[in-house]
Amino acid sequence: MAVDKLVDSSQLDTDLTSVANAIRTKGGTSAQLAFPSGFVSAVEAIPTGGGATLKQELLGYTPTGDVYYVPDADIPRYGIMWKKGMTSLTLDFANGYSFAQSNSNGENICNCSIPKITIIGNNSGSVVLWGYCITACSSPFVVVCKGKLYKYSQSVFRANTGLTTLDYTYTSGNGITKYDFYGDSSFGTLIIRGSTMMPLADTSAFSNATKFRSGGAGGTLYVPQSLIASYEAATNWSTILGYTNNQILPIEGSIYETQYADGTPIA
Amino acid sequence: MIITENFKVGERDFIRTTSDAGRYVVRDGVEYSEACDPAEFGRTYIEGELMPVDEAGAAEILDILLGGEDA
Repeated sequence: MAVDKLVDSSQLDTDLTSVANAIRTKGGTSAQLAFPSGFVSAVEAIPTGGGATLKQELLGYTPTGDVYYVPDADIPRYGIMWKKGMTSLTLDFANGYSFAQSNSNGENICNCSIPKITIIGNNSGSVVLWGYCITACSSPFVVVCKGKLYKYSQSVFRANTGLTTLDYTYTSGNGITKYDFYGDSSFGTLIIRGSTMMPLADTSAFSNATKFRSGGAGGTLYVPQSLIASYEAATNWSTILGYTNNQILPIEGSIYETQYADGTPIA
Repeated sequence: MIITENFKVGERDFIRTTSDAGRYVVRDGVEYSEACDPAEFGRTYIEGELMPVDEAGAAEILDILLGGEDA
């Protein structure tokens, strides 16, 4: 042990106590903290990626500008509501939380005016996109879903008259399902990434007002070039792509080859 | 029970396959709430699990029936 400095032990106690008090306040505890192990454990227990302060900002009032948020709890029903002024919202579920379910319907993001919403799953696929997960958003916006997600079986993006574009990276599980875009009158661009064809469980996914519907203005489906023939022959996709004005195009050669629909570059 | 219905998209003949018991129809392990295929493909389905109830959709339908919302 090196003894090369004189230390004011009283001052040192005061300084350490002030650090411990700050940790206790943030952690909501009055427990004694042993030095250094207790300090280290307490600091390690503080959530990463913004934590409580950003959560309070996001859920409590309307922040402005770009918001990158790593949830430190499940996003509750109506958790993100009436948000205006944000230019983008990225929800990175790296901490393992999810959208909370409410009677099969999420209604987690409602009545917002956010031009770009990006949802990033995690390796376990435990993030669930419930029915009406994003709903009642009427200003133009795009949604990007990437990483591993679990998609509920119906109405996931339903009732958003402002939804123009969905950019979805498909890995496995439920594909596009019943009423997913029901009533989304601006919806006309769907990008599906991934090496496996995403099933379409019901043509009603595009019914009631979308540009893809029978008699609609026409929508564009972007998929990898290698899967175009599979989509054209697939159950339900063959019907949707048979409607006048709809088209299927390769991602390769389009703007979506190098960037997601929210404008972020593809690594 | 599996039920089928013929329809056209443009000049092409299609077949819609559904279950009258509110079940998915299944082919090659993939579940569909309805399956629409070009008639010439001759695809066949079996009944699968019961589909979940669309509670919000049911509420909207009830609202329409009660005159609270236009269809």
